[in-house]
Amino acid sequence: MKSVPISLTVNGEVVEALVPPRQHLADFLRETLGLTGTHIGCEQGVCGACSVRLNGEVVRGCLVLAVQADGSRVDTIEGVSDAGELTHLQRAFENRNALQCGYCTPGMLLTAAELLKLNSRPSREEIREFISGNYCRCTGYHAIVDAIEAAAQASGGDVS
Amino acid sequence: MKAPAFDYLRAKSIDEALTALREHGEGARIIAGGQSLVPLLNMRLAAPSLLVDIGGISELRGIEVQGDIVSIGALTRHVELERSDLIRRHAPLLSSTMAHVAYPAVRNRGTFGGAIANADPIWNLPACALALGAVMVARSVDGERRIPADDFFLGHCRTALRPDEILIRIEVPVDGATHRVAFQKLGPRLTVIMGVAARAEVVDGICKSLRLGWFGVGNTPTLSASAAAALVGASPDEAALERAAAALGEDLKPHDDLRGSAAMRSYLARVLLRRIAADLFPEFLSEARQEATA
Repeated sequence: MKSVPISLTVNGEVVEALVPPRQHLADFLRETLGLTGTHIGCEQGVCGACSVRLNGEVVRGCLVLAVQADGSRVDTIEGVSDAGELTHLQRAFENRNALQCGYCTPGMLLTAAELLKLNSRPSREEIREFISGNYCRCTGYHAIVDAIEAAAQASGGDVS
Repeated sequence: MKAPAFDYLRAKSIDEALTALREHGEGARIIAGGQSLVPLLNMRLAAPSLLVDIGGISELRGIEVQGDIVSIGALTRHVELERSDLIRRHAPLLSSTMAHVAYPAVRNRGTFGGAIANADPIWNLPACALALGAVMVARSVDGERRIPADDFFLGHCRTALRPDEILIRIEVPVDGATHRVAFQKLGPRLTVIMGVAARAEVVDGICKSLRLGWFGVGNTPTLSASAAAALVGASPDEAALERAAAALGEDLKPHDDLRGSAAMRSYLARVLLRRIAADLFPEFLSEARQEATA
């Protein structure tokens, strides 16, 4: 099947590539661009390990075809963490032991950052609700909820 | 798993997409947000020869109020409905239901038209479309046709849309001061068992109309017309609710699956009916309300 040319901005850099239509965005980021911080778990939209930002909003990297990202802005965990945007969250995750194997962590951080952007002081219930689409098999979630709550407090409501 | 190979066309206009559908026949499939289709592709449960991407066609986006109708473009994303003031004011059933649609990351990308056109009987939005008496507007190269929700959902993930048609927009009625809506479900999101969405009109203590749209019961989203009829025409009180619960058996064809038996679903349907009736008619059903919140 015919490959399709795409042009998109990944972590601030313009990328042009020829992609097979069946390739999803997470595979494109990992295999073609070497951005392996985007993890792949279920490939059916359930686990959240492949979360990336598409035009500023968190989406499932496995449920977007790379061809569909043509003309878009994609930000991965590499770009968002290098920009310093996740500092409060990363520190809180470390302090609260909110990760063990780390497989879910990039997706968790991006999702938590989106929550704090929409709601700077979420309740524990709201945190649980918002991360309900990101699976963690190590922590049992309590520590992750603790960390996101602590990050919200540490940033004093200023998460930009 | 990885999707099977297919060709891809990024349609720049509705006409270009419709022409491609007509030319390629049943091998072609529409993709918009992809939140229903890409999982099916990745699991190889769908194997189209051509994907026609309508995601970039801006005229298919947006929410407008036209008289007593809210017109929702098929490409309007869940997150846009969730945050829309127009929807909150004029079609609040959709606002309150959106939080129960998948996860934030899926709502950022998934479209209302996609949820309706893919018509999975376990999803809540097709049931909401039934409860609201929505009209689906479909277009092909031959022109447009309007399909009432009651005639739209034909089978498991099967609708009245023909292979050469695109769902263009969904029209739902504007709620007035006399309308009430409610939503109830059982089970957490990935393993939701079943639920019901409702829209009623109450004038001077009389229930003038009621539509109850069920999901997770049988192989299509289902309207329970007999149960609703038992609550219409008088005060929707405890006696009417008893008659409605008894009538549910005529309306619903529950199925067995890993999430529950048909017998369990029949029982839970009566539980949900009591809960949603208590939400809709609290002034008549204080007893049912207490039970529901106990």
